[in-house]
Amino acid sequence: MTHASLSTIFKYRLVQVKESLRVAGWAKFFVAGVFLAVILTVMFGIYMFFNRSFVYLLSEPYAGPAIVMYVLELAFAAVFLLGVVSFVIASYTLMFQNEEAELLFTMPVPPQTVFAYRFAVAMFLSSWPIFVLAMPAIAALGMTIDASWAYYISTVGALTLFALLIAVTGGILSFLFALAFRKVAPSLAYLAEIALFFGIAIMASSRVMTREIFTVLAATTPQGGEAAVSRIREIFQFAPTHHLVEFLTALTPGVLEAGSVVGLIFASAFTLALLGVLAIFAWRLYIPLWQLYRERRFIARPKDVITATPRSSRPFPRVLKWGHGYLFEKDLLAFTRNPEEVSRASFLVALLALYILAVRGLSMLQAFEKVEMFAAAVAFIYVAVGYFTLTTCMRFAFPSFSLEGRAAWIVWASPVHAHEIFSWKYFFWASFLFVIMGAVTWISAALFALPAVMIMFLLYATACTVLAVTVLALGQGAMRPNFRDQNPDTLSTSPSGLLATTIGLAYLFVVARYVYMFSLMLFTEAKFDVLAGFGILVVTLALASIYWLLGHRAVDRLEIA
Amino acid sequence: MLYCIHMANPVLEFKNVSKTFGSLTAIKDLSFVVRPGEIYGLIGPNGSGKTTTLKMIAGLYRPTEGSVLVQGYDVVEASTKSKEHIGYVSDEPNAYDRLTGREFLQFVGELFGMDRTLRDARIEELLGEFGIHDLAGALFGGYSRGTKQKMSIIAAFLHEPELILIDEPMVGLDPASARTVKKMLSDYAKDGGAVLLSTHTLPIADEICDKYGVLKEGVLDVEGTKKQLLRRAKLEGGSLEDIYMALTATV
Repeated sequence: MTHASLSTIFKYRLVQVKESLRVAGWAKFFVAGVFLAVILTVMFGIYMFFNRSFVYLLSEPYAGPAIVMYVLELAFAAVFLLGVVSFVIASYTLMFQNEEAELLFTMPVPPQTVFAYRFAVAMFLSSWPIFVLAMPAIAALGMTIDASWAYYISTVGALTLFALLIAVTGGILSFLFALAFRKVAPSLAYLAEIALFFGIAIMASSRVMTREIFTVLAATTPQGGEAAVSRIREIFQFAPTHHLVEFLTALTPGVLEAGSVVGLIFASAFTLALLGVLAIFAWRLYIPLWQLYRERRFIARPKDVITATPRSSRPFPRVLKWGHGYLFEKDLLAFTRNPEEVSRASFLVALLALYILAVRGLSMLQAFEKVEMFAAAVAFIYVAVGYFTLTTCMRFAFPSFSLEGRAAWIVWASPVHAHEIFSWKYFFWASFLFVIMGAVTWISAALFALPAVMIMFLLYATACTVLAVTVLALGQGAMRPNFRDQNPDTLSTSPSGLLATTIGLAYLFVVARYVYMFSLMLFTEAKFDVLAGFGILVVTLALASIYWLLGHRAVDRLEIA
Repeated sequence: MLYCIHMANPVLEFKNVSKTFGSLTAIKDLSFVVRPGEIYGLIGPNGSGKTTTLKMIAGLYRPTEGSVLVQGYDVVEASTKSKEHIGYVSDEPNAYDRLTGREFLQFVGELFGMDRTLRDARIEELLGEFGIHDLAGALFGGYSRGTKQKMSIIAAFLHEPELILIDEPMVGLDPASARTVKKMLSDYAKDGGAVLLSTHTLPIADEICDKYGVLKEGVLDVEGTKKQLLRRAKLEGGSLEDIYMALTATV
């Protein structure tokens, strides 16, 4: 019965997909194509990063293999953590708040089937770090060491096992969280979960990223190399991903010390044991928790149920009392009262924290003292901060016109000029982002112990990026607003959103190149590359002024249906 | 009173206005005026262009041809100046679901640059007229259709504009609130304000409007007071509904 129901649901989904493909016009295919191209470009970029790094690292005969192993252990641990967080977030929506699940529960479908179906979907969605990080890393290692086909075939199996490990861990945690927080307000539950994940990330990073390890990794003798490998094994032995990495590194003969398939068997047994625990949870707890959720809304309130009364009755605006600050404060109030939005923002903050932890680890690689690598690391700091800026802009600033939604008439029928609305939105988003991203840039640069000049230049590049990317997102968002769609995720992945993302990525690439040139000249010749600074200014002004004009023209012509 | 209305400068003036959406002509060569103290009822079947007309005045649509003047200011060329004189109630009273009713009204007060002390006093006064003080602290998204409509009407009256544009004013209102709105509009007109009201509810228009315009397929077919419309419909007497049926059947 369960198996038959499950296959019926999947068949129905397949029919839906076929039907959508049949009726989809060229525009949808184009959007899907662009989306795929962006993802593939990101994957390729990460592959190139790992490939270059591995080629360079493996040229070090003693320390190289140990460092490659260390990088893979770190990458897999990061993928595991990101995947589990993604699964927990996705599972709340897919298992408890889901309208389809609600419909299926009213039908003669066993709850285990509903759970298995939602679990499979959540597993697919939470596999993105594997595609974006683990797969390129593994492919890069294979290409670097010229691995045989057996290597690639085996890695497919290992990565599938990895996806399952992430999903079952996330599934168990989802149940535990739901049980633990069933009597707690959703916002408190979110905070507790975020604090827990942060705590784990910080504890893990303080264990695996220490000065001592980086000293061990700077091995210059065969004995030193062996000691480094055994130290890495010792450090990561408790990581759930350790045996998978052992298996993958064992498949690269001649480069790394051979491991054994025992690791894979152990990883499989561990995953199966967790799957058994999850099955018991699902069998015993899914229906009671789901019913409890319908009664108490303890995970999150569905967006159509708005009943809470804010505690504060202080007059509006409370903080931004000057100029048109109330426009931004209104958005902030609406944002903070929306649990969905808060959870999405928290996820971005979590990623930012993970990035800083990664920078902390990278900064310790100064032991290599190769100027090109160091300049590349400086450019990496810029790219990471720039990418966060772009992502935040596309997720929050780009849809800000569209999200006025059916209430857009209030602002547009008021005597505030459309240009003022655009300019104030820009002013607040740019200021807000510069404070956040400026701080992240400064922390990253400080971790690398960069000279003051380099820090100033990075802050300058960040400021330019904030100015350009914010106006790009707002301008493009104003050009094609969609007042009917209120989902910021679908808005930012619309054709217009993808176009802005593509332009933003191109801008980041150009500026990153200038940052690299500046840092290279500074570290090799102790001179300032004035042209690099000028180049950043020119591309920033060009992009910002074009989108400033386009944005203003768009809001002038905007009609609110 | 009628004499005074005819003498006063128009608050709203439509001059040969057309509006097209692609190949569709929503409004064609529309001309009419609304003067201070006048409640002008815009009536007509679905899709006749009533909402489009109101949205052009409110600055939500741009006229394709012709000009719309509010207190002498062109709604395109001097949009901010013209909007200062308008209070608009949309056909769908949607606002910000996660702001409380009071925050929404305070936000509207900010948009119109009101002094905060005056704004808050005016909000309490208008909330009192509808008797919804207790609801003002709850989130807008949790309100019933009727309460949303009341809040939208309060928002339109908040800055004491010279012209009120109101699209389907009574939808979702309970009888007591409908009566309050009618009284508010009548009192407002008596004090010299102008109202342009678009509705399907002909008895309401019959009760409070001084002048009517019948829109059909974007064209103003008939315009005038009830007496003038009766003559035009060749009726001795009757309700606005009788006139409307006679006119739309013969026009």
